Order: sequence, then C-alpha cells, then structure tokens
Amino acid sequence: MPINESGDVVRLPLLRPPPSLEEIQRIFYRRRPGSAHPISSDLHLGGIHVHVQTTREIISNWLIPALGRVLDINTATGVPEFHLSIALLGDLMEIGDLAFWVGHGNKHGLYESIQVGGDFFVFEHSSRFLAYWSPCNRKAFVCLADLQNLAAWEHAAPIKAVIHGICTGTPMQLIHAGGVGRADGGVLLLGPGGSGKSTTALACLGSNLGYAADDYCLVDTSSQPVAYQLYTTAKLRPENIHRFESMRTRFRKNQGRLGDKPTIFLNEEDNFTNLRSFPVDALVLPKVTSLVGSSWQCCSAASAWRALAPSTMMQLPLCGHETFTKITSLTRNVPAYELHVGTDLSMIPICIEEILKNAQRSPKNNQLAKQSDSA
Amino acid sequence: MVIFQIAKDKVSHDLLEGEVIVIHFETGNYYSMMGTAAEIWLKLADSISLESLASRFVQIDKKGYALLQSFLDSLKQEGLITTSECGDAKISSAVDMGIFSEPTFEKYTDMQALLLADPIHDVQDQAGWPHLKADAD
Repeated sequence: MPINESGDVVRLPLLRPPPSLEEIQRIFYRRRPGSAHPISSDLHLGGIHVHVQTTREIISNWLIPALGRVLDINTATGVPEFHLSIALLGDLMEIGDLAFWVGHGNKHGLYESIQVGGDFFVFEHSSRFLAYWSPCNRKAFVCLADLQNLAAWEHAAPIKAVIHGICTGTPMQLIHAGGVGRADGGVLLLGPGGSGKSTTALACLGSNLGYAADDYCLVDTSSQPVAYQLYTTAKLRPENIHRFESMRTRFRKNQGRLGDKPTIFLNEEDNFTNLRSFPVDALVLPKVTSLVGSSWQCCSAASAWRALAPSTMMQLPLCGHETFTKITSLTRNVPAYELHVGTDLSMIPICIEEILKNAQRSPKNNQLAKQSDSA
Repeated sequence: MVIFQIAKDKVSHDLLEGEVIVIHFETGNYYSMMGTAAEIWLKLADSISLESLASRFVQIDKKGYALLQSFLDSLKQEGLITTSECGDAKISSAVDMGIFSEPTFEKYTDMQALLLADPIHDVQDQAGWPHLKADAD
C-alpha cells in the first residue's frame, strides 16, 4: 500500500464498484467445482436458523469438528432466517471480480472489510478467505482457497466473522467468553487470552456443572440474557496441559496452518455434561494465581465491560455502536465477580457454585426476573 | 466560540455504575473516567463550549479553568472529541455539577497492539492469534 510523507497509509479509491449480490452468486456458482455435490444442513445460532449449503468435505473437515452440536446435517427444515453458502474456489486473489478491493478496505486485526450500501465484504488475511453477507437479502457466502490454507484458529472457531455478521440487527451477539453452569443458570467467563477462561471451563468438566464453551459464546442480550453454545472446542497453552492429565493425549497440535494453542474437540468426548444454553446469572473474570486455593469477590460492571468488550470488538470485523450497546447492556444487567484461580482445580467448580448462589440473590437478577414476569 | 462534542462516528460510550467507559473503534484504545471527568464527558454528549462547561460547576477557580481546558485538549488529542465554531452559542446559567476537581482519564492500549499486529508474523509460534510475541509492536 502507498504511504504518504507523514507515514500514513493512503487508501486508493476503488476504480469500480464491488460486485452486486447477483454477480457474486454468478461467480460463486460458476467457479464452484462441479464434482463437489452440495449438501444442506441447519446451523442453529440460538434462535437464528441458518440454512447452510456446502460440500461434504467442508462439513466433515472444517465445520463438524467444532460446530457439531449446533449443526444438523441433511435436515434443512423449516424457513431459515439466513442462507449461507460455503465453497472452495481456488486462489481468491485470482478471482479479481470478488477480491479486487482487498488492500483498499478497512484493516482491523485479522480482517479487512468494506461496506457497500447495506452489504458487507470481509477478507481474512491469515486464512485467506472471503466472506460476503447481505442482511436485507438474508444471504451470505464464504469463499475459501482450500482447507489446508486455514489458520489453526479457524479450525477451532470456524466462520465467526460470518456468524457475527448474521447476528447483526438481532439481539444476538457473538462474544469472547467461555460458559459453564446448568440449564437454569450459568456464568460467562470473561477476559483476554491467558486470563484463565479455558482453565476454569475445563476444570468444570466432570463436576456438577455443564460445559458450554471456553472462548466464544452467543448471547441473546435482550431482556434476561441467555447464552448459547457455539463451538465445542477448548484450547490451552502448552504449559497448562499438565493440569489436565486425563485429557493430555487428546489435545491436538496445529491442525491448520500457522500456530495455535493445542485444541481438544469436545464433541468427540462423552464424559461431560454438555450445556447448550443457559440464562446468564453472573459474569466471572478469572485471574490465574500461584496460590493453591481459589476464591472470589464481587467486582464492578465497568471491570466486566473492560474484560469483555474490547477483546470481543477487536477480534471481529465491522464492530461499532450496535456491538458496543449489546455488550454494555449485558455488563450492566448481570452481576460481575472476580475469580482467583488457584492450582487446585477441584476448588474451581465449588467457587462457581458459590458465585451462582450469590448471583441469584443479586438485585440485578431479581430486577431482571421481575421484568421478565411482567412481560 | 468553540464548541466541543463527542466524535460520535468513531467513539461509543456509556455510564456504568458511575464510571464512564469509552472505546475508540479505529485505534482500539478504551478509556475510563470517574468523578469530575465522567460529569464533563456526559455534558459533551450534548455539545458544549468551555465557558458553558466551566459555568456549570458549583466552584471553579482560574487553575481549575486551565485544568478543564487541558482535559478537553487531551480528549481531542485522543480523537475522542471534535471541535466546531459557533458564533452565538448561549452560556447556560444552570449549575448542575459539583465542586471541580482535576479531571483525568485512564487509557488502555492493549487492543491497539492486537489491531495493528501482523497475524502471521507477530503472534507467538505456540499460542497463535491473538497472542502477540513479547517483542511485537
């Protein structure tokens, strides 16, 4: 990209408009390999039903390992809120009609994006895939070069940019948080990478608490917040794997291109209580300590916001006022706690149970319950 | 007269239990303000001049006026507020803020590094995105 005298990147104007939905569909279906017979499935994003059309290779090798609990293959029932098509189209940069704008868009972490009218284009630079979604037409497309090119984190949490896009304009929000608890109430685990979200979530496996996620959840932020499971993967830093001896052999290293934490695909594991959704009773900010025991204390709504909003908004493309408002509403309405995570993992679920009991007596939750009853 | 207002196209903000939280979408920086700073920020939501802002405090001296000006300059430097010229803006006679104390904000820049990082070369080999190498800018 050209740089001016002040060292700022100069964005060149686009010489032609990006393609329309009709053009994108034409390119997509023309380049899709004829031998790759598409199959249909249903993706359940909380209350949002997405009809997915893609190939068996993409389903088996990319989507099912992480999204298996929310993806029903070969069903495609009912009237979906969104249609999502995913295909391997070869080198995207050769498809000038789709990707000619890359280098001219807004760079945001992993993503570069442009908005054209009400439609969105996103290019993911490390995995080199292109996503397009049109909220008013209820259609989305994901174009990949090949599955080998995907970064490891795209295997652990596939298509999160598109899921974020599909939730735009609804009360649903993809957030950077883990989740554990029971069907009648649970906690979201907030914090940047390395804060202890995965350690806390995995420590609850085999306890009386169910496991929903270690890194990303969907949350319905309207009225009483409800969290929904999305990916049943868990990632740990290599130096923490020894803390989960029974699972040590099941952590996979670097399934994709580029480095990532070793990942466990929990939908292959039956020995845990799977938690598909739960009312959010508390926000918990784990902080790893070198002490043996674990303990907890109340913390401010602003602390919870700082642990959740920036890392969510900076990991997703095209976040603005809407995402901010949804996350702020969540942190305002739900009581927040700090959890000091010790080395004795058996203490962690006990602390979470105590937090849940405390949170159920919180004025915030009682206020929400009253609003819910009157509605 | 110079009018100050929040840069609404680049910034979102809210008040949580007495603490103002602000995020700048382009830089990734986020901010916390309490006390006098939070009160000033909330007034900026409606666009306001320095003179009008100062007149709303129960008590503000010359030094306080300079501190207020310096605070607004800092917010502008961070890209959180903008200024515009308005010839005949009225100075409100309402006194609805307490005794002035030096306004400050806390700035968090940890997301800026994440936003500007090269996801291929600047991340830890073992941990991957979004875990940056210690020496990554």
